[in-house]
Amino acid sequence: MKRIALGSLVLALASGGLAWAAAGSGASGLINADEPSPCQDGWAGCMVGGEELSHEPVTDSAGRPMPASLRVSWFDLAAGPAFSPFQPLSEYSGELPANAASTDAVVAADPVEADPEVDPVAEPAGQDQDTAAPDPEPVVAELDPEPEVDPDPYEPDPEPYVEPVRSDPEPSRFDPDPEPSRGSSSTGSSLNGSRASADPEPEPDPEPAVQGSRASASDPEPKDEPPDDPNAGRSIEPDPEPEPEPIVTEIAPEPPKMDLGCDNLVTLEPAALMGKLNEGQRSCLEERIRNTGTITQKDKISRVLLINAEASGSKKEWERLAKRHLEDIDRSDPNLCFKYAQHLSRGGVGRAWGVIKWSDYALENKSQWSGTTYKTRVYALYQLKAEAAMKLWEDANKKLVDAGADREEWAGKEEKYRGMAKDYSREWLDYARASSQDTKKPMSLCVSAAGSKKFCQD
Amino acid sequence: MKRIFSWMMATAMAALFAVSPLALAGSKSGEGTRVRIQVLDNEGAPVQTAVIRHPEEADRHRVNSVDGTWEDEVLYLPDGSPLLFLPGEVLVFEISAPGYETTVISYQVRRRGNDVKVTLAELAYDSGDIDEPMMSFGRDVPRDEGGEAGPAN
Repeated sequence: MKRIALGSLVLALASGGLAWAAAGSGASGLINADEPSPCQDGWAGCMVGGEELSHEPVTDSAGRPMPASLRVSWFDLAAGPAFSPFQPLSEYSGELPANAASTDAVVAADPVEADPEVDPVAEPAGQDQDTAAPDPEPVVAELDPEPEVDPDPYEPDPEPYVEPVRSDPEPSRFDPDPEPSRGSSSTGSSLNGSRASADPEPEPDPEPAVQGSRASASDPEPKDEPPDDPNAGRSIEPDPEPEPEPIVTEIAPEPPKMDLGCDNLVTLEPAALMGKLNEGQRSCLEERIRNTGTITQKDKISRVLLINAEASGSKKEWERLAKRHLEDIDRSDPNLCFKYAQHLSRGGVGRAWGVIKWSDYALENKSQWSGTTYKTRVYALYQLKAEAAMKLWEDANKKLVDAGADREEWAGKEEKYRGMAKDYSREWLDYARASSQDTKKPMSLCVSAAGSKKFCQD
Repeated sequence: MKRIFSWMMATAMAALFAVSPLALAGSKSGEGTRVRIQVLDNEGAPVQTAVIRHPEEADRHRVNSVDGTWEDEVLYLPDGSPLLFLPGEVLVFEISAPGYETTVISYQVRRRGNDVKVTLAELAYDSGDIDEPMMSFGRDVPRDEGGEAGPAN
């Protein structure tokens, strides 16, 4: 009966406390389900204008408190923190704001002190069920002076859980070799001795040695001794040892391995596009070109070398490789012929014949192009040819002027190159008209070579 | 008899004197007026390789390689007829040179002081504006096995 009454009293007190907290001004932070959420995104708390907004009351411009959910102040109709309905979701960075962190620190610094005399692990000895009422469970607070915020909730805690360790180990009942009491042996009582031998005696305490031996003789059961340490009754987590700072040692990157193999051309393509083929790889590819029998394989290998030379900016090497490719391997690619002709056109009059030759080869395979590419490249090829012929005619004219004994020879060449310039420029002009492209440049070249507009008229 | 012979001699002499001025007038240094054309470039230097031609003429006349000039009083057309440079006449000339734009001038001949200077503009070779094509690796292209447009079908 007494126990029931005491239990009901405790329940009543607890409910009363809860009711008081609920009816409070809201400082405890309990949420009133009837009040609308102050945050427009539906969360119980959010950041508005850099400040935290929750169900706690806010103040208006005059310092008067008002509910946080009010959009407009009651007295002066000023916009409240919850005024804008277009607030986006507050960003969650995983870190507590400054005021929330201080609040948690205050809570952690003041743990609820447990009763030092009550051991939550061991059962109280000698408890009489009839007389004693069950004590309420003591509140055990974990001492954690530095609350650590786990940024990733899915990562395991770095600190392993340490079971609380009692300073005074409890004497075990099952101690195999208990010390026999002196008192029992001195009296020589058979009855006491038999009793002592039947029940294993606990280890006596070193300080109260006499008392412990007397007690062990009369009471075989273990006895709770008053602890010396006032904190012994509390379960305390040992302070976590500060983790040593990780030692970072810079490991020098491994030197890149020299890959001298060139069997797989596909694996060399990325390096070739960057112009990063090393000397061993280039030598290997050159060796393969010499030893490979099929033209198709030579073509592929040569292209890798060409692209590498172009990417690395080595124009001389590219010219050498392009000339070898076109003359010894394959000249059916109009793109390569065009590219080579354009490269030669940047040179002097000595390369003009090469420009005309490779422009002609490119025009032979122009059917591989289509659309706008076809139009622009054919126009460009005719232009290269006409300009190359003009350079030859110009050079022959100059040499004719300075000619001495070989004047007749140069007169003949001058006439020949002039005819070439006339024809190529007329071709260019005709294609420009047919493809509806610019005719000004080809017309001026044609008239210059022909000497009159009549030859160049449509 | 003497009167007839002297009359015949006077007539012949008169005819001779009448024809000779006309003959002198028909020669190069005679009827036509000398016209002198000098061909220069933008910097004022003579264009050594320039040629001058009349639109109806087949031949081209090269300028002097030292000073870039050409001068004459008459031109001969393809049918052999002379074209005299007479005062008051408008002459058309086509002046060209390799590497320069051809220029056509028309000039009205004056009695004297027919010196013409012509400046030719250089031709601009702008093949540097041409886009270079990209090269590709020689990878094998899979064969298109459509079979719909084959000759057997």
